[in-house]
This record gives sequence, C-alpha cells and structure tokens, in this order.
Amino acid sequence: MNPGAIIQFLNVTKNYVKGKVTALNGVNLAIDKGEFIVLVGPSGAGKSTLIRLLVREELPSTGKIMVAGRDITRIKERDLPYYRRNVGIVFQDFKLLPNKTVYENVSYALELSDEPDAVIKDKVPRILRLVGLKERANNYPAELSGGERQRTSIARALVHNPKLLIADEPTGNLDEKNTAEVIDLLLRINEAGTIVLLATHDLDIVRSLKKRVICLNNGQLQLVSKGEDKK
Amino acid sequence: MIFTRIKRISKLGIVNTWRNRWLSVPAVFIIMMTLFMMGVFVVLGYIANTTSDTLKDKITVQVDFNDSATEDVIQNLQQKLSQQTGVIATYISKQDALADFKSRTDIKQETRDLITEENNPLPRGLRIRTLDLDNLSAVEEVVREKQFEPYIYKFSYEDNKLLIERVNEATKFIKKAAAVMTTIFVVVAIMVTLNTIQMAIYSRRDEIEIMRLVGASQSYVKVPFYIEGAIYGISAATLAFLLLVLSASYFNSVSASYFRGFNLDAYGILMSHFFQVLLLQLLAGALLGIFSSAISIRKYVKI
Ligand SMILES: Nc1ncnc2c1ncn2[C@@H]1O[C@H](COP(=O)(O)OP(=O)(O)OP(=O)(O)O)[C@@H](O)[C@H]1O
Ligand SMILES: [Mg+2]
Repeated sequence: MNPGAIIQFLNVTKNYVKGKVTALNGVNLAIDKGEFIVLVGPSGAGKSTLIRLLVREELPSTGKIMVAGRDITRIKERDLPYYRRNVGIVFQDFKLLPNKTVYENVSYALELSDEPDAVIKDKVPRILRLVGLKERANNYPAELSGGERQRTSIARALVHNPKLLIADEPTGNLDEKNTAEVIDLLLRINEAGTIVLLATHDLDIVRSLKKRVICLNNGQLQLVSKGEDKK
Repeated sequence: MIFTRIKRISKLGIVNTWRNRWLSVPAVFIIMMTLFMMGVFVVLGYIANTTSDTLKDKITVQVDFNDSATEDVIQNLQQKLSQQTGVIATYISKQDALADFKSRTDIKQETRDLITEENNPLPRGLRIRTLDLDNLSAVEEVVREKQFEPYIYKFSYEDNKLLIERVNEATKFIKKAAAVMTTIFVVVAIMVTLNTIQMAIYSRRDEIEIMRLVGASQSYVKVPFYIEGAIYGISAATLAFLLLVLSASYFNSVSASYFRGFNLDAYGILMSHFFQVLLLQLLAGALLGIFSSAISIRKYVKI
C-alpha cells in the first residue's frame, strides 16, 4: 500500500464472538508521519474497536496492524507496556484517578514506568505548562472543569512522548468553549510532530479542522476528504 | 532503578492493603484460625509423641514370686529374660520391695507403718523393662513357661499395655484429625482470601485500566496484590501465634503440667520451639496469601 506509512491496517477484520458482531470488516488504512486524522461514523460503526486494536487491547480476528514496521498483533504480553508507551490515548470520560491531584495523575504514569524521581520532577511541570494547567497542579479532578480534566488526561497521555496520540470522542462531554480548547491543544501537539487520531461525532469539528477524514460505516472504511493540506 | 521500583511497588501494596483493611478482616480471621489450628496440632503432636516415648520407657512388667520359689529358680528366669534383645530384668529383693513400699506417697503413713523389716510379707520379684512394645510377647512367653508356673505369685503388665495402645491410637487419631482439619481450613482460607483479593482487584479496576493504558510495567500492576495477600497472611500468622501462646499458658494454668510423669507443659513446649513455630506460621500464612492472590490475579488482571 503505502511504504512511507507509520501505521498500516492490512485487511483487518474484528469479530466479537459474543453477540456475533463484525465490528470491523476488511479495513485497510495507512497513516503517515505527522498526520492529523479524523475518524467519523455512526454509533456502533467500529471506531472504538479500531482504536482498541491499535493500542493492543484487543487482537484482530484476521489481518495485520503494522506500526513503525512491526506487526503489533505479534507483540508478546511482557513487551506490551513498552509498546503502549509509544501510544498516548484519551477518552470521553477522562479516566482520571479521583484521589490524585492533576500533578499526581500525570506523575503516576511516569512512576509506573520506572522513571527516576528527578526526571519526573523535571518533566511533569513542563507538560502541565504545555497543556495550560500549571496553576491547577494541586487540584483534584473534582475541582476542575471538563476541559481542564480532559487536558489533564492529555498531559498524562503525553508523558512518554508518544509518536501517536489517540483521542476517542475527547469532546463528547464538553461544552463549546472547552471543546475548542481541547481541539486547539490537539492541533498544537500535532504541529510538534505527533500523529493525532481523533474519533468524533461532532461535525462542526470535522468541518473546521480541514484534515483528512475517514468514515467507518458498518465496519467498513470510506475516505471522506483528503484534507486541505493535501490538496 | 530496581530500588525505585521496589520502593514504589511496596508503597502501592501497603497503601492499598491499608485502604482495604476492613475488607480484609474475614480473610485475616480465617487464615489466623487455620494457622492457630495448625499450631495446636503441632504442639499436640509433640505431646503425643513424647508421651508415647515416655510410656515406652515405662513398660515395666513385674513378676512376683511365691515364698516357695528358690533363688535358683529366680536367677534362672532372670537369665532367660536378659538373653532376649531389648529386655532388662532387675531383681527385687524383699528389702528392695520394702524400700519401694516405704517411699510410696500415695499410700497412707499408717498403712506404710504396718509393714516392717521384721514383718515383711512383700514378695521378691523381677522388674522387667522392655525397650519396645514388641518385646513384651517374648517376655510373656518366657515367664509363662511350665517350669516357673508353681513359683509365680503374680504377673502384671496389662495395665500399661492397654494405656500404651490407647496413646498410640490417640496419636494416630490426632494425626488423622490434623490432616483432615488442616485441609478443610486451608481450602476455606484460600477461598475466602481469593475472594477478598478479587474484591480488591475489582475495587481498583479503573486504576488497573489506567495503568495498562499508560504502559505500566506488569510488576506495578500485579505485585501490589501479591504484597496484599502476603500482608494478610503475615498479620494472620502474628495473631495466630499470639493466640497460640495465650492458649498454651491458659492450658498450663488449668491443667497440671505433669500428669503421671508425662510432659503436658504446652507452654514450655511452645517456648522451647518459639522460632520454629513462629517461622512455620509466618511462612504458611504468607504462602497462603500469595497463593490466593496468584489465582485471583491470573483470573482477573489482564495486561
Ligand atoms: N467487547 C465487545 N463484545 C461484543 N461486541 C462488542 C464489543 N465491543 C464492541 N462491540 C460491538 O462492536 C460494534 C462496534 O462497536 P464500537 O464500540 O467500536 O463502535 P463505535 O463506532 O465506537 O460506536 P460509538 O460511536 O457509539 O462509540 C458494536 O456493534 C458493538 O456492539
Ligand atoms: Mg466508541
């Protein structure tokens, strides 16, 4: 397909045994270095399934998923954590730990991968500044706005300097202003060189972004637009 | 790096266990009861063993002679007995018998005064000791020979033999009961602990999901639960040992430590094996906890 692509789905099918659902059906997809890609499609089309395959939460029923030249379906369980550090992910529901502050939620991700305390002390404030949460470092998630919570979870997703940032409906719970903030942050992260894959329902976002849009429908992939940069 | 990891994982394990402390009460309690029971059986087994050893030492058979028996007859029997392996036959003269009688504290002084050197109806005899229960039948065979029959006034050993058999039976019973009870308790303890760890895993499922997503090394996800299981086991073992010491000292206070010359000093036995028993319980407790955690983790923690 595309030899320059960093991420490639090669004829990927995913059947869920339970309920006999075919969530993805013969998906082929190539994502280039530095791309910002928008994934749309009706509810139940298979967007989250595609994402779960990409972070190796699930294995495809058939097909290969190549990331940086390696078939991730063949990664051994004990090497999985190292792969996942290259892939940051955020969700609609933030998945923050309620009993940890903003700072602790972010530093925790580093602690769990053996980073020395000195590195953590240096790195966390820099990332918090990047997402604009330096002043909120000692607040708990319950004390934050939705947008701030999502930016905390983005900060956490960035601690390992991932090559790919996946966002599964990150603005689903946010109002217009917070949505704009989060999308703006994703764009800035993309400009710094990280691939961003954004799954969303929000057509306003799709229209305003002018990036490549792919659409899943019934488990099958269709190209919607190439995006302005490519025209 | 390895120290950072050990430090962080231990902290996770300890903090999580502390948060779950109320959840863990049933598990700790049942492990404690299991270990306490194991301890009781160890002490009981020890008492039974030493008792049956003491008893074997005490297998004495007494042959008392009629006054018509000549010294030759007695010597003949003594020699025949001493030729058997594991049999010691000691001659008791009338004077020896008298001295024995005078030193018996279980007989009233007035009664003891009735018998004097001048008026001594006590018979001469042979006191026969066997080192093993099996030698008794050989002794019996010799003593029952026709040639000695007219001279023997009394041949007594049945009491002790019965007692020994009873002790042996009791020992066997204790061992069987220990095996059955321990198995049942261990299985129940594992099931309860397994359930508790499962609840702990469930209560931390969001955190585990996050750990996986941020690429936490496997040991950060799993080892804290092993630590939690081990802490349950170790706390239970400590409590079980305390309970065992208290029970032993209570047992001593309500029962005579020496019963017919047998060592029933449970407290003393426990104290003289302090570290063995404590270590055994700690080890068994920790293993029990870790084993239960391992099963739950395998089943419920996905990487
Ligand atoms: N673990 C699972 N077991 C069985 N079926 C599943 C599982 N996960 C998803 N499915 C099914 O697979 C299909 C695709 O689901 P998926 O979550 O990928 O859709 P989606 O595009 O993300 O939808 P939404 O926009 O509502 O989030 C659905 O029919 C869903 O019911
Ligand atoms: Mg979804």
